[in-house]
Amino acid sequence: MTSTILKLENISKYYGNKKALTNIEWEAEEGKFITVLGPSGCGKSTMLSIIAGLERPDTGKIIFEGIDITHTPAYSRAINTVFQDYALFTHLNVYENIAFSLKIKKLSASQIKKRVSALLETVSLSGYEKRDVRTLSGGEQQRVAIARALANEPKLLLLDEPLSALDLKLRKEMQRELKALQKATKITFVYVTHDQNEALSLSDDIIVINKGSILQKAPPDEIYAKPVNSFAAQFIGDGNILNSVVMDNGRAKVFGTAIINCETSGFKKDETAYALIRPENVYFGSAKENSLTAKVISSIFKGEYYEITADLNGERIKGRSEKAFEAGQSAKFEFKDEIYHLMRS
Amino acid sequence: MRRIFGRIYTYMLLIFLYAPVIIMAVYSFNESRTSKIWGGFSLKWYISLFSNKQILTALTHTLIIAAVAMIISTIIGTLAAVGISGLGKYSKKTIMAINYLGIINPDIIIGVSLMLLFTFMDLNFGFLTMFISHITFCIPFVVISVMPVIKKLNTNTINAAYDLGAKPLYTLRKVIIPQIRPGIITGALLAFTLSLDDFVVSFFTTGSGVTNLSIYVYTSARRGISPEINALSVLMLTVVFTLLVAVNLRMLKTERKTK
Repeated sequence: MTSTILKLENISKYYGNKKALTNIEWEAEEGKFITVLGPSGCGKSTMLSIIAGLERPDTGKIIFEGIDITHTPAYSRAINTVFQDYALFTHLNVYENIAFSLKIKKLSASQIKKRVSALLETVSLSGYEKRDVRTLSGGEQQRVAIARALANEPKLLLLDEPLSALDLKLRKEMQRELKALQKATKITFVYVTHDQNEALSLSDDIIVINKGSILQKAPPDEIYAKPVNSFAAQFIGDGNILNSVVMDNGRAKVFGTAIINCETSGFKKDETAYALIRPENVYFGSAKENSLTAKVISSIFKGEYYEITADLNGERIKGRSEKAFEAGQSAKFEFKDEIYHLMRS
Repeated sequence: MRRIFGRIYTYMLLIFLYAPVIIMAVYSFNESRTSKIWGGFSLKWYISLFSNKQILTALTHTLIIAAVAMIISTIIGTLAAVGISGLGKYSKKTIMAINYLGIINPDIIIGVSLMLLFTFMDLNFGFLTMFISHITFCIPFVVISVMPVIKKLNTNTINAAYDLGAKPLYTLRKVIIPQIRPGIITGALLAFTLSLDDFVVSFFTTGSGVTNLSIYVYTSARRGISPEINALSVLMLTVVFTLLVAVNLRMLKTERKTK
């Protein structure tokens, strides 16, 4: 039995005349890993600040554990944040950084000591107590920031692009650790990122946000398969978004002639729409008679396959092939037999 | 060649800057009373300095005023700087402009205007008026010393403190002040020195019985400056110099720590 831990109701935020967030509504179930995904400047960090209590919304309410906390100051909320730049206290060492909130709670010295060493063990930094935080590597600073945010045993942990400053290898490693940590602690995570892969691999739910509005909230597989519009489709994964015309009984036409199977419920016959076809469903080098022919723009070796980008009547199509093509060469391609997703915008 | 000229230039500059001080220091050990004649090495001015009650009282007054001015102006100036840094762009610019006014305003105007204000308020001229005026002209300097370090302060550390449950006052004490300490110390030292060597403002705002060193020197100058003053100046210079070296060493140490 899961319950709602956090609920945002009709949150809007303006900076002068500029709208940062418009009518944001969503809720988080307890113990879930929720990712807020959007391009930079879309308002996702502002939303996090509002949940943390560091900024006030202009309209709307924040309900946390059933209580309206819209006007509760940040220091009274059982919510903690891992900041993008870690925001470690450089005048304090590792131990003092992590113990910061415990000292405020007036725990005894021995309790604090116990808790800090347990936290350091959680983030695999045992023995780092006396270290100066400025001498730590990016990954280590990140771990200290996480330990510090967890010290208070928050019900909700906010993470603002926590891995964006790390190199790729370390980022992958930290992703795994974060996911494991979330599972072990059962704390609800709200994780802000602009990295789609991070969102897909970590989350129970993804909230796609653009220009201060929520486009879609769904589990990763659903967002990947059925994005609500072409923006969400392009943002999550690689995809061909093709102009199409809806035909009857579950079919649509792309490139004027090719017929694909589609989920057409809700669409009228002869309506124009966008069809989402992932590159893994486009096969170049087809030998079928009715396959389409496009002019190859690029052919990139990806290990298991070649990634082919081609042009057909001014529309781009990206797909895969077992063999390389030359740029400028004509190539036949076909779509895998799938039921494709249609979008209105 | 260029290096030699550079060196000569530097030494010339240093000589011009420090010649008066060096001459003063040399003459403080002069046996003779007039500064034109070298009467041989002697410590007698140092000895008589410590038996000159007037000078000692003036010194005490100066130090008390400087200490009070330093402490209070540092507190007010630091809090002001923290507050100003949180303002919007235009209010910040306006207030900083007003703050600079206090720095570029000639001492004579500050002195006279404060005197007028105290008369208008019917205050008794004395320690209180001296404290108020010294604190007043020190605050802008503390503000401009603290502002740059606040600018460098990562505001997310303040947010992090709130986020971790620290109330604003606790955040100020445990997060903001420790991080801007170098600026506060600079500001405090500046305030202390400014108060120490102020004459003009003190002259207009002091009352009977409260004579500080600069006023003492000024009034006794008519009778000819006693070499005791040279001795006193050398002592004060030594103290200030030691302080300066200590502060610089400290800063160097913290800088190394950061690297």
